[in-house]
Amino acid sequence: MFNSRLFAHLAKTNFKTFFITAAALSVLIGIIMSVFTPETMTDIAQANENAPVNPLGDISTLIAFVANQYFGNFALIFGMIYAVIIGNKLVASQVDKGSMAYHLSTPITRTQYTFTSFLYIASSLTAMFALVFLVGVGVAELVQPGELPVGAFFVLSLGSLLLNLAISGITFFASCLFNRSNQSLALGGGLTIFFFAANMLAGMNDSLEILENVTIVTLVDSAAIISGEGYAIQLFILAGLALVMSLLGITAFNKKDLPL
Amino acid sequence: MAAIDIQHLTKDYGNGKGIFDITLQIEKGQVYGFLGPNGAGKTTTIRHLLGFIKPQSGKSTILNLDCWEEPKKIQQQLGYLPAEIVFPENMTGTQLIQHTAKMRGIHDKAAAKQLAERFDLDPSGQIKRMSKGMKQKLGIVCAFMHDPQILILDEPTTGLDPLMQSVFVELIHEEKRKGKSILMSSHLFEEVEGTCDSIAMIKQGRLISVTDAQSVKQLDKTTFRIHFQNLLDFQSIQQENFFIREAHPETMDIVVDIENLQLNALLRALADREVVSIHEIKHSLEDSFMNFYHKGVDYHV
Repeated sequence: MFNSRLFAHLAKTNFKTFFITAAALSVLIGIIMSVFTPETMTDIAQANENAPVNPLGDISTLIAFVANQYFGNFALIFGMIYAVIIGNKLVASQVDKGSMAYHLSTPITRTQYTFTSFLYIASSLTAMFALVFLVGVGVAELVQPGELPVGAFFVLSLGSLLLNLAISGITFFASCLFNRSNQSLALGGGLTIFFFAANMLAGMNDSLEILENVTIVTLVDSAAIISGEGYAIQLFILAGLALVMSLLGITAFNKKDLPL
Repeated sequence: MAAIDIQHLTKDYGNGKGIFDITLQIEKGQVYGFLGPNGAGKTTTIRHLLGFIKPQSGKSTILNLDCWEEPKKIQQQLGYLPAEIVFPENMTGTQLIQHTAKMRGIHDKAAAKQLAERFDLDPSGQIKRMSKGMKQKLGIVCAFMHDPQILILDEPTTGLDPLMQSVFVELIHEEKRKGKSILMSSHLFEEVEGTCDSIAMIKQGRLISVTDAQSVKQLDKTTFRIHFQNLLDFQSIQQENFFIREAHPETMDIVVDIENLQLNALLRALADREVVSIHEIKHSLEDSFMNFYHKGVDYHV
């Protein structure tokens, strides 16, 4: 099912997209870990004491801030954009443009192509979040040793990775299902934006809290992760979603007629 | 065993579009021309052979392997040049050739290098900066570099200049001598006329004729253009029992179709008249092709 030469080709031709996303995520976590020392946090907390809404959310501890701002916003947005772009690019866009004819006229099966493609998406995301974890821990230990609970930070990174894997499972499925980039983006990108928006709205107002139940973003329960209990099942659901959607995509791509 | 075997292949897209009951065989060492206007179903047939489309009914096999079931095995023996060639992004021609070689498990790059030199191609640049002709040459290199038994070429000379077209025709002749089976689609008559052993014409998704290329050239009639000295002879020849296709009073020219048996009668008729010049007009495949299309002949062979 796996083709190492195709994998090498995908890694080479998509390196730029991967590098930009990974670099942005690493720089951001580096900045956060070096700037938000206990002193800065107390200053911000005091400055905002009388503000009606705190724009930064819970900033009582470094890990809470990282969970809210970094994994709740930056990593989510960058990860989602990467998943939407790369998911569409590896299958639907190749069919739409016609270069899939080139790939499939080499001796590989369709399953080999799609399986290797999804494996590339999954492993590039894994590499990205591994880098985030290492940079985060490294910078925190240098600038403010002892302030970052490494275990919770690891689970947060893992949760964020699984969430992005699930999203890329969905965008990959849309990409395998459709022969046109715009249709694949409409389904894959559309669902992703919906999940993101629903999560944001749910946090804004109590009456919108019901939206928590329609987005997969809330399956990464950062409060539970920080307190260290009751988060595992949701993460398994995300992993299962990634697996099921990618298998569905591979199956759909095997069965359909290709306009090449 | 036919190298390429298509049996009653049908794919109905509705509105009369698609292909209907296509049956043809291409033997080892045969060059098969596939002729038809745009939208006739040439590419749809080829997509079936590549395993991109599942047949609605009927089946196609290459080297006894089913095209839908076993495309991977077929690809090892197949060189394919698509009609509108698109390569993966962000690669130079050299990288593409290397990647193709790797995917095919070829370690010897000599063949690819030789082909590139032959077509005067410098593959070192970025593919997206290449002209249509250069991309076509790159496609040819990728289709031929692994010395495949079967070649499927969809409008192969598109974008090539006349010099390169003749290099290409030469290459086809060589491959044929090596015993390759070649299916070549085209809407250009000259392209298939010079190279193909058999020519299938397809119209609105149906095969309307399969012709031996030799017989096209040796049709049992000949066409002459005859120029007369005076008007009287010009007019009187038209009273004789010949099939006059065109008559131009201003230049006193006629174009006449002669059954080969009639040739002596024509010579006798001309002997009494003042003839300035007489030319044979060569029958090309194009005439035969146009005949089929304009008469709307609708039978199966």
